[in-house]
Order: sequence, then C-alpha cells, then structure tokens
Amino acid sequence: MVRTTRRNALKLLGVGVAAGALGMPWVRNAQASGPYKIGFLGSLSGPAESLGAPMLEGVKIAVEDINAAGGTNGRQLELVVRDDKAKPDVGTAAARELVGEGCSMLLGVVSSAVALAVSAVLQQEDAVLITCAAHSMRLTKEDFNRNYFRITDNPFMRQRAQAHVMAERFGEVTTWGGLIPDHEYGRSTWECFDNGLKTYYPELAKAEPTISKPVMTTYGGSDYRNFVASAMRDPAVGFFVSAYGGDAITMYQQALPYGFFKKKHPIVDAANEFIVARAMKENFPEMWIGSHWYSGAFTGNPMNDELARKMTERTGIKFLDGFIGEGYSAVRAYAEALKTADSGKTADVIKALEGLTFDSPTGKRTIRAEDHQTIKPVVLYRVRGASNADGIEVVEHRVIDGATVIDPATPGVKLTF
Amino acid sequence: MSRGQNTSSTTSAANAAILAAALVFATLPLWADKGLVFLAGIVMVQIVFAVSFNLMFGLTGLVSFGQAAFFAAGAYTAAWLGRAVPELPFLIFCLAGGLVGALLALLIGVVALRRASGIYFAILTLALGQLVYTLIGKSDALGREDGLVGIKRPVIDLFVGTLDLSIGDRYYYFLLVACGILLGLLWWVWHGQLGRLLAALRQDAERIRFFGVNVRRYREIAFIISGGVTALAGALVAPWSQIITPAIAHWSYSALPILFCLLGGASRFWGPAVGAIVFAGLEYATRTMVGVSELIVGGALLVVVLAMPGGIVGTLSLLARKLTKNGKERLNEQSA
Repeated sequence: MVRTTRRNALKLLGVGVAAGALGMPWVRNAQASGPYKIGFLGSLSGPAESLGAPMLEGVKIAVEDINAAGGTNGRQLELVVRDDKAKPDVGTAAARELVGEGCSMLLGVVSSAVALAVSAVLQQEDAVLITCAAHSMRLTKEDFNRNYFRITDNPFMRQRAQAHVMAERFGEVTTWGGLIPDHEYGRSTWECFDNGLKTYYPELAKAEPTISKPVMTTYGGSDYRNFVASAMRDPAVGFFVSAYGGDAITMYQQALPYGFFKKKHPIVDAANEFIVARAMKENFPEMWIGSHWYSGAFTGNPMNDELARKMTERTGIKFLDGFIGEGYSAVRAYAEALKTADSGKTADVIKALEGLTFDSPTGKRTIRAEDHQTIKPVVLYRVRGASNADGIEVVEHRVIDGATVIDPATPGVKLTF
Repeated sequence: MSRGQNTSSTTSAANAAILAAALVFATLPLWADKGLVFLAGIVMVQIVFAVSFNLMFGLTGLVSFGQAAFFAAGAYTAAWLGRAVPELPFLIFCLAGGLVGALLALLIGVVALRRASGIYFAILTLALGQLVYTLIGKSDALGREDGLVGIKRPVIDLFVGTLDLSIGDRYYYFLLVACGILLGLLWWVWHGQLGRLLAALRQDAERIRFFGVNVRRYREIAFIISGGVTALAGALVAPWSQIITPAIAHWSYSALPILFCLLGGASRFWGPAVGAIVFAGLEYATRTMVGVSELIVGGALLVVVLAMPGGIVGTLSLLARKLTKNGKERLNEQSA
C-alpha cells in the first residue's frame, strides 16, 4: 500500500531528478564536442513517403562520404532521423525533439506546410533548417526568417521555366488548365506557372494564352475521379499538374481510363521526378517533369557521377529521383559552413551559410545571403513509358541556369505578379 | 481488514498514482528534453479533451463522433482572435474559444439529441463534425488546408506586471495549471449531483423520465459542458503547438478520446487520462520505427482493449481488489 504523504511525494521527485542525473536517453543534453549532430526531418510514411525516403538516402550517402574523408574539422557527422508524416503538427513536434537531442542543424522536409510550421518555431528553438524540397514561396518571402534556408529551386524559378519551355515548344497550345492540390504548395506552383504562361506566350509564341481556373484537388485522397472528370470538361488543352507522391500516382492512374492523356497534351508535372513513371511504367503518358536533380543532365561532374553510382548500387534503380541530390547537397552545405562555423552554434552556422558557395551534384551552388534562396540550375525532362527493361525513357532534358530565372530577393515581402 | 479499509487503501493508492503523475508532469522541464516536454504539454491537453469527452461517453452513455469539432472550434477561435484583436487579454481568447465550443455543442445537441440516441446520435455528430472540418478547410480566414501558422505565445497582464509566456517553459506551466483547473471542474461535475443524475440516465433513462426528469435537457447540459471544456482545451493548445490545421477537426481526431477511454477505462474519471498517457507513451516509444510504428501501436491497443474490457484502470482496480481479498483470506487462515 502506498500512502500519499509528503515524504512519498519527495521520494518520487527524487526519482525524477535522479533520472536526469543518470543521463537517460530522453534526458536533456547539449552538444559541446564530439560529432556534429544533424537532424533529418522528412516524410517517411504516408502519401509523401516516396519523396522523403530517397531524400534520406541522399543525406545518408553524404554523411558517409564526409565521415569517410575524415569528417568536418576532424569531427564526424552524426545523423538523427525523424518522420514528419507530411503533417505540420507532427513536424513541429519532431523538430522540437531533434533540437532537444542536440540537433540544432536540421534538414530535409518535403511538405511546404511542414516547412512553414517548423520555420515559425526555429528562432524560438535556436535551430536552423535547410529544406530540400519544400517549395512554398512564402518561405523566402513574407514568412522569411533568418534561421531558414532553401537548398533547391523554387516555384518562381521552376514553374516559370516550365512555362518558358511550353511557350517555346508548344506555341500553338494556347489554352491551359491545372489540377492543383488545395494547399500552399499547390497554389504557389499554379500562381508561378500561370504568370510564366502570361509572360512567355506573348513573347515567344506571339499569342495570348487562355488560362482556365484550375481544378483544386484534395491532399492525401484516394479518389480523384471527380477532379479528373472536371478537368476533362475543361476546354483547356495543355495541363499543369502539381499533385505529388502517392496522390499523383493515384490521380494519373485514375485519369488513364478517362482518356485524359489523349485529350490533354502537353502535360506539365511540377515535381514528381520519376516516382509516378516508375509506378506506371509503359502506361506512363508523355509529360514534362520538373526535377531537383537528374544525374543524366550532369554527367562528368564527379560528385554527380559518384552519387548516381552509389545510389544505383544500393537500390538497383536507374532513374533516380532528384530528392536524393537535394538531401546530399544540404549535408554538403552544412559541412562547408561548419568549416568556418566550427562551434556549430546556430548563429555562427547561419552566418556561414549566408552567401555560401559550395560544390553539389548539379555543380556550384550559392545560397543568396538576402533571402537564403539557393541559386542552382533548374532541370526539366520529357519522360514517357517505353517497352524496355525499365519501362520508361527520358526523351530529352533541359538545364536552365538558375541565375537567369530566379526571383528578386525580397525577404519579408509577399510575391506579387 | 474491513471493507471500508479496503476502499480506503485503494483510494490511497489511486491518490498516490495521481500525485506521482502530477509530479512527473510538474518536474518534466527540469530533466527531459524539449521534444518530450512538448509532447507532455500535448498530452495534458489531450487528457482534458478525453475526460471532457468521457462526460458524455462514460458517464452519460452517449457516443459523440464529432468531438474534434469542439476542439477545433476552441483552437481556431482563440488563434483567430489572437491575430484579429491582439490587444485583448489572452484569457478572453480562451473564454471565447470555450464559449464558441459550448454554443456549437448547443446547436449540434439541439439537432442531434432531439430524436437520436445510440448509433444515430454518433452518426449525426460525425456528420456535423465533418461539416465543421470542411468549412475550416475552405475558409481563407482560417488558412484553408494549411491552417494557421506561427501562433504567438501570449503575454499575460497581471495588473502588477506582465508575464511573458513565450519565455522558456512558462507556457508549459501555464498549461499545467489551466489543465489542472479544468480537470478539477470536470471532477466536480462528475462526482456531484449532476454527475450522479447523468450516470442514472445512462443506466436507465426511462426510469429517470418517470421521475419527472427532463432527460433530453440534462443530456444537452452534459453535451454543452463536454463541448465547452473540450473547446477550452483546444484554445489552450493553439499557442503551445503554435500551429493548428484542419486535421484537429477531422473525424480521426474525434476517434482519439474514444481510444483513450477504451484504453484507460471509460467507467472511471481518470481512465481516459491513463489512456492518453499510455497511448502517447506507445507512440513515443515507437516513433523511430518508421513504417511499423502504427502496426505496433494498433496491435498493442487491440490486445489491451480485448484483454481488459474495463480498460487499464478497471483491470488494475479489479486486481487490487482480488489481491486485497486474497491477503485478507491468508490473514484469516494464519489467525485460525
């Protein structure tokens, strides 16, 4: 029998304090020496798992490469991994946990909603985050804060580049529609693509585009047939799609029986890399896909070739997703920044990252000091199903110099067109 | 040992367990990492959420599948007011959140409790809850599917000075006190005259009606209290998580308190609290097992629910009674 006495209460309190003193794994700790701890936060389950998992592989390869070469400043990199499930609330909880475990250098994040949520608590938690895929323009515009960095391109760069290529190659297709997920990332991509069409069609195709109101879809849904049917009714011929991951696989497969891809052409896919193509194989319709990194576009770059070789060895996959390159690049950026910010303190790391130029699988990248947006090449490729061993083929690719398509640095100011 | 002594020892053990849990929560920021402290704050709010839900489920005998709608109503009201009229005191935001939740419960209760009970009531509340979820997801003012991000922790005016709850673990302790007060209020309702009447309604509503009691009115009162306190819990969580999304209004969030009640035991006041703590512990322990985490948590819950029909608290109570009875018999044998 346990009596509720002051003595028993003090005993319980003592147990709690003793637990702290014994250094249990969940006990608060600090990183003063030893390895630099890097926290990976990404979607490792749920509809965006197909985007987060390859990103983590890229991160792991970079950490292994750097550690094999002696680490940074003689210190090894240690990776701690957490799943954000592409949910903002889970992401912020996981970020706080990572910081609590001594990982004040965070990287990863697929979902823009997660990135916005985590970005909002970075200063309070004294942490820094480099996102590898989250594309919302708000992150480097109206919601910018100094603790946030983006290692990849953004919708202004990529979607306007896609619109540029469409105006150049399909000048006769002047009616455009969209299948857009109804969240920040979806709206951000559509605004930029829409603006790109209005900018480049008059300039390159000498025609004014007619742009329909996009069909807004759900995130994480299992039935997209109503959305596809709405898109079929739309008179637009060219279509832009920014659903991603498992959602895109479901939507494209459900669109096939409708004859969607026969009626609508060209199709521009915002960011699905080879994920949907690998799933649909020879049934995959031809489309132009935006990519973070395509190894075939950077052959000859030793870092690119080595990363592609290792990743193909590990997975047996020939067509690698760009998320791998971005995870790899984010670790490289931290490692380079730590050479001058050897303390690993957040303020020093931020200072070192601002304006940093570093090597990556896509060549030299520079992180713009003003808004922490990275200047890097924009990659697009034309993919279709094929009757070969892989079931798909890349027909052609385009690499556009990031410096020529990047938005002006206006941190704290909303992007307007 | 007399029966009175048995009850007294069981109560004493329960009190000790409650005190121990309170001590762990109170000392957590002293020894645990930030992630665990954050999780503990969420668990405290979820305890209030689950116990207020159990006022309907365990005490009154009605299953509401739309409880998350009240939670979201409180959270969104407080967060939206915090942006629209930041000069107002934070406590006003919380009270407004609770009031909106109570009003929503009144409206839903008027529709759902008029004719429905049992499964029909559950389905009606589920439908109305999903309506709230859809409305939030379509509302520009509430951030649509992205929700409201960057919610600030408040500064409270204490008349003799101000208390900035954004510093360190202050908001955690504020949550601890606020959740303690709300649980105290629910304890008072559960164990008071109203609680006894609601329990009687669950056992035999027809007989109570014959006594001249307006059954629907008392069920509505329970629904309003449950909805109001749930909304207050939602209002408290917004500055803690600093983000709210429509996911907190989704039916899957309504399933959480049901799960906590089944896990901990719906017939006891503290049952849902135990369920919430055990569930969070399971999730925390399996958080790094990507892909199998949900399987392990689900499997463990299934085992507990099937093997312990009275929940953890009910089973522990049964065991305690058996042990005391065995001890008493052995004592009698020795005496003989």
